[in-house]
Amino acid sequence: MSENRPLALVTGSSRGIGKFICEKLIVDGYDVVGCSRNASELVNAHYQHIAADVSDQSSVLNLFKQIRKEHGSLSVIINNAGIASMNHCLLTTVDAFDRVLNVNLKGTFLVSREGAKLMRRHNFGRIVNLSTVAVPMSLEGESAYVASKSGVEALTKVLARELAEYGITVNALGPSPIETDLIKGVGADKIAKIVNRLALKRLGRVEDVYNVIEFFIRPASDYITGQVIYLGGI
Amino acid sequence: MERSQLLTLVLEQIEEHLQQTQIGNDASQPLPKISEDTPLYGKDGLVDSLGLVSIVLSVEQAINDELDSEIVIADDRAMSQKSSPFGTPGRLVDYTMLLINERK
Repeated sequence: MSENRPLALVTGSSRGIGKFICEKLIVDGYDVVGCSRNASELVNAHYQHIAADVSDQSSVLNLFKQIRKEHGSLSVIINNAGIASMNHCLLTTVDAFDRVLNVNLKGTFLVSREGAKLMRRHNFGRIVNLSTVAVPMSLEGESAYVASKSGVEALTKVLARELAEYGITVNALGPSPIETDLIKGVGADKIAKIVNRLALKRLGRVEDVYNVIEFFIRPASDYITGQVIYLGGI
Repeated sequence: MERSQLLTLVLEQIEEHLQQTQIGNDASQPLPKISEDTPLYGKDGLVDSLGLVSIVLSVEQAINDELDSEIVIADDRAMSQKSSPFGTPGRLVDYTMLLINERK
């Protein structure tokens, strides 16, 4: 970790898209704090892992206490932590619904709220939230997931307005299906059906996700806020 | 942290906020004298809702830096108080002291 590099926080950083985002941010000159409930596979001089549960307020407060104490400032937040529950609404338990809402929506809210408190000290910040193409597709079989990510999109737009005066932009991106653990439980025919509804008929790549993130967090993107960009052409 | 120390910290944060906003920037308009009973927010309050957000967050950060704590001033209890803890600097100090003492 170096004092000269801006600090980025990536939630859900232990694997998949989150881990890839951390690696790219480091290459692009950031120091990165990653958090997840599990340990991370990523080992790098510019990476620090802090175990945290984004759906738990005391855990998030503790995460930011550590960031404030050890780093003092924060430039970028990537709210990537997310879980899915693929089931027909008639078979979705209230526990599963709560879990998805807590991690995806409450987690994004808590991390953004505490992060923005730190970002406003320097009148600069970039918050990028992860949504999904399942929102505009109103994808059947994903009621809890789509409801949570719809909430994330609404939150993105309201936070964009509320945090604008502190120099903080808040945007979201909605990836198409990407080869990660999150879609491992989804049948190949269902994935093919989703891909066929896109203008660009292929699975998304983690590089596609980072491309949009990199655009949103550039200092020059200070006039872009409250926007949602979907991958694949929906 | 003693109440008097906290009051000084809160008054400093309010003055700093006022200096950064129009009241302080307008040389012809001197900063108002602020005491612990000066209306802060609400009827005849010094600041609007956004100003209050800035002051509360600045106080929260200053305390958390000082005490190495994780206090959140604008919690559910603060919002549901009959008498708002944000009405005057004194009430903000009293409510914050309560939070500080509870963590001991």
